[in-house]
Amino acid sequence: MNHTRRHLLQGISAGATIASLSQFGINSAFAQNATDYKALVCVFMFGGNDGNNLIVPADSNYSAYSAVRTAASNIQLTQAELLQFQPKGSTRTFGFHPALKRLHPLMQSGKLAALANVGPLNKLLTKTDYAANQDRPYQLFSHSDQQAQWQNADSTDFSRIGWGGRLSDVIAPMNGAAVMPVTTSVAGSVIWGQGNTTSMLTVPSAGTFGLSGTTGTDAVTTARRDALMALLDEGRDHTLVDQTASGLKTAINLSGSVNPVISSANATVDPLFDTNGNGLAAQLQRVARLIAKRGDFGVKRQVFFVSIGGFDTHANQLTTQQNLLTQVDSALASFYESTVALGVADQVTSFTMSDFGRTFKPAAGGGSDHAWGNHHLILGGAVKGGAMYGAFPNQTLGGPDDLGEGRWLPTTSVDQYAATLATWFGVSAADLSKVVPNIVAFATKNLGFV
Amino acid sequence: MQIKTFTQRTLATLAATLIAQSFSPSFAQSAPGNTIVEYYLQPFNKYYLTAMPAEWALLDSLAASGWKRTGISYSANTAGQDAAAKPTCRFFHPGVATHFYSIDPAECSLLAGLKEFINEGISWYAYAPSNGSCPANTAPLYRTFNNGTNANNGPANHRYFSDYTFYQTYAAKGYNLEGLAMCLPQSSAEKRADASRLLFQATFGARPADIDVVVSKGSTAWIDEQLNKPASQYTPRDWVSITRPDTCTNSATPPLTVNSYCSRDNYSLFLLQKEFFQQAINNSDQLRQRVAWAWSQFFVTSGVDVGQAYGMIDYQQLLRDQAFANFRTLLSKVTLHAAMGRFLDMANNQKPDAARGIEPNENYSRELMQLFSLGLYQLNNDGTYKRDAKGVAMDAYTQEDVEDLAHVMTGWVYPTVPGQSTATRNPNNNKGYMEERPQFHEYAEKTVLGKKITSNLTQSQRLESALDAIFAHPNVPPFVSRALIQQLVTGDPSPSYVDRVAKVFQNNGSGIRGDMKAVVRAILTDVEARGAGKWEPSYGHLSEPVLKLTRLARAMNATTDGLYFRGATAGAAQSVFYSPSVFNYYPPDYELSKSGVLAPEFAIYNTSTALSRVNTAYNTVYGTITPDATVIGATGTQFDLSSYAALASDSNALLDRINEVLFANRMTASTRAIIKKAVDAVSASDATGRARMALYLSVAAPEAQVLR
Repeated sequence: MNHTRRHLLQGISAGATIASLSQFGINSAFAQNATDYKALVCVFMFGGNDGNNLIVPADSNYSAYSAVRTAASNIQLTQAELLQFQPKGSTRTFGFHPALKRLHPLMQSGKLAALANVGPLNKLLTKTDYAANQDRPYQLFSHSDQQAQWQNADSTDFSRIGWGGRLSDVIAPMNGAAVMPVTTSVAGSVIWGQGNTTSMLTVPSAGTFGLSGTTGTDAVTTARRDALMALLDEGRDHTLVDQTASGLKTAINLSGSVNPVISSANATVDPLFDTNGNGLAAQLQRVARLIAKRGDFGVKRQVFFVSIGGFDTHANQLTTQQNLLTQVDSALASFYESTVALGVADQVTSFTMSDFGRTFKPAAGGGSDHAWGNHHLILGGAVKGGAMYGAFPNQTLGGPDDLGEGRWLPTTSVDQYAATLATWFGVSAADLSKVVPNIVAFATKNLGFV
Repeated sequence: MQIKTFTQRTLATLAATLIAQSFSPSFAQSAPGNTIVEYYLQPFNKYYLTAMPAEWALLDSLAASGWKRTGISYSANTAGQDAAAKPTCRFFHPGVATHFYSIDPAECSLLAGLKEFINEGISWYAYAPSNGSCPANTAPLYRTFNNGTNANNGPANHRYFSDYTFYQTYAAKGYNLEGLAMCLPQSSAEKRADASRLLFQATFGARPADIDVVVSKGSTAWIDEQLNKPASQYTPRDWVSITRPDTCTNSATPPLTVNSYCSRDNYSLFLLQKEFFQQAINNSDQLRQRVAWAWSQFFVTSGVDVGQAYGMIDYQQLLRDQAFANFRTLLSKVTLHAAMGRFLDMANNQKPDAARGIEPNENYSRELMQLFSLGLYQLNNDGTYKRDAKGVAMDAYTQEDVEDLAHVMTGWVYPTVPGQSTATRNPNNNKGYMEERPQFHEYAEKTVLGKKITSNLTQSQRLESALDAIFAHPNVPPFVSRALIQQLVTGDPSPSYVDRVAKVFQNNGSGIRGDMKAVVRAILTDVEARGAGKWEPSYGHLSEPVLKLTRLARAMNATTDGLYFRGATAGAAQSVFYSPSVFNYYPPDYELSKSGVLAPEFAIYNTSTALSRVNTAYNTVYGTITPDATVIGATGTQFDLSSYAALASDSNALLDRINEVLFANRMTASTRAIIKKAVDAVSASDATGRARMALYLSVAAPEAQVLR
């Protein structure tokens, strides 16, 4: 019943880092000899980024875009300001949102790929299926539920376990006896990183990560520290007390090794980031610092979570999205450059997720409403970039991809997106369903973008 | 007669017999005392109650055989202590090895006549229920029975509970809930524990003297007094333009004037956050402020979007003023307040415009139903999901409801800026209530939750008609009741608790639906809220960062201008009035991944915030908080630890005091020993140092971080 408690070894201050080993489900008996290093970085854009203005048809199809997103709707990007690219193998030309100044060249140099019209699905659906209410994911258009489904990679039923966490469960043996958890969030608690047997480390995006008032060897300080440690083992037959104690114990155990890495300047990566007014850049800078010290932690596989909020642009979208995507552009490009500087560009893949796409049809106030299928970006040296994967939707209102007001029926599932990344990360075909439980419902299990 | 056979046994013989017979600790009938202790015999899954100190000594000595204290104890009377108290008989049934306690003389006589039962005499003195309920100032003791047919529960056994929540959970284990067995006296310590628990639930934390006040007034009278206190007032501010003028900056150049920090004071919630903590810690309308804080996490707006102080101050004052109003009134006022209009884009929302190709935006209409009134799924009155024939939860509303409601809610613009002339579309103004603009309103007939909103009504009537439809929905009573229970009392309330409160929401006793005063009273006086100790292992909730800090400040008898505290919760993911989104800092349906227990506050509890919470406590207890030179009238924060320091030479007395204030008398013996050892490491001459050590370790202890 009390899983955590049963698995905790005794002793906390001495041998502190060892104590947390089993808590994170790391079992050295199953350690494989992973000699390479790989990291996956999830960049979540909370609120639902409007993919319809992230990637816009820039050729003759722009007229179909501008016919719906009229100039008077105050949500239109002009054709001239689009940052154009022609995806490999496509005859069409698209344009990025003008904020993607630094990512645009990475598309052209083949380090960045786009995935079009992806969203939560239980299976590939037709409009007829949808109209008949067949196999719909639960609670479409609700922020909380769609965030959860992107993070679960499972739309069949609600779960508090995320696919980043399940990935961590499967991959943990590759890290051997490392006490550092596979998954680290620099953006607070998130379903995505919660596994069945592993939990994530959460570190602050600014400031230090350590216990105050415990340094010093005088009798009073020692007594205080020893007492606090002892208190963490008390009252743990109460579910909530146990949970409280576990979190604090893990934090104290790991802070000694993690804090110096995240809080100290790193001359290689720090200058590459402009963190001024850009929280996402500050988070990714900490990820880069951790990756730089991967050898110290003895890890072969790491999974990171960072996020930026404010994308729920029901109104004033042009200004808001420009501001937010400027931050995303800067943070992601800087992060990519830092992986180059660290010599691990081919071993680190970043990718975006968001609640949902937004209605192609404008809403009053210069915004757009909650929708479904959306476009996303994948970045890294291993990415087969310069290309667009998936199928870009037909942007005709009432057309084959529209469920109403320009809500696109996704043609690629989150399951496939996650499975592709997991496969690159080293998950075998046999283990894929442990990470993406419903992947069996999709014939294509690797989208090929990495 | 049978008694004699026990009295003649020696302790050693008894110990051996006890194991052999599975369960028979009964021996020498000594006089029962004032405390009933519950024991558990692990190998045989049996519970046993005894008020006899000699039996405690025996059972404690048999720990190696599997006997252990559960930690639960109750009060009882001794012989002759109160003439109204009656003897409770104890019988043992060797066949199924279970003890049975009864206060009913007829039941006792019946068992005495049955040869299967051994009469073990009087176990303690208590009170008989009258008409199924307990006399005033007594605590119920409920009885369950496991008939032995469920392998998980072991052989047949009774278990007794004072905690109604815990009692109910035994139905799911296969026990029969046999109802109220008797009523136990409440000791002074238990009354004080219950008072301390009430202060966890209904205030920003107990000041040491508050417990005396609640005990002397009685819980119900104290709650009623609080329900009628007038609201603390935030200092209002005047409208400012949404765009900060270049002249409005922050300047440290003396002298300090009201304009020195123009940008900070007008374009952030700095002063509002300061005043929130100042008043939460200092002022007496505790319940109103606490419920207003709960409403601010229900009807969420956020400084992330509504960052100008003047508008958010007005909105938060509304939640205080209307904290105990009718929920329907709250719905209207929240919907039309300009800060909400700004936050969820109802301001300037307008009817479809074919020429521009736009539809009304659906932001407010969706969140009004999903978060502010109904929730996603149809609910039974006890808050559980209604399910269709296939067992699938049914949606509470459809996308069409969202769209139609969005149309009905079009045509509202920002209030006219004071001193400016009214315009078709006023400039941004987040203070006060939005104004109607019929030319922007969609008048076509729409259907909201099955109710037709006809085109012959005015814009305002159409909005109110839609709100009526929402208010009448059967989800509202359980949805709102559960949210408030979670904020005030426990994160995973039992369905029956939700049902009882939701019934009061439906009808306050005078035929009024939505009377929040009655609902709050029902939440706090419910049998699952009150009582000296709650023992169900998931009862209660993690103190959210704000509450954790105010609780410490009030326990330390703080006098504060609030400034220190305003910045001290951000690291724990709860910057006041800066929720990351309309979904609040944490969602009400967050459940622990391993146990599935609903525990909302844990959504923001992780390794990072866990450290921040404890470090903030350390800084508060051990730091010095000086006045902030950038704020006019700043006084800093002073703590008065004298009432603790006065006890500090006797660390046990100090811990008794802190146990009452911060643990509601639930500090375990081992926790006490740990803290005492650290306190004793501080020189007795440093009384404040001892008080600080005890306070810091107590608020850092996981046992006291959870409110239960």
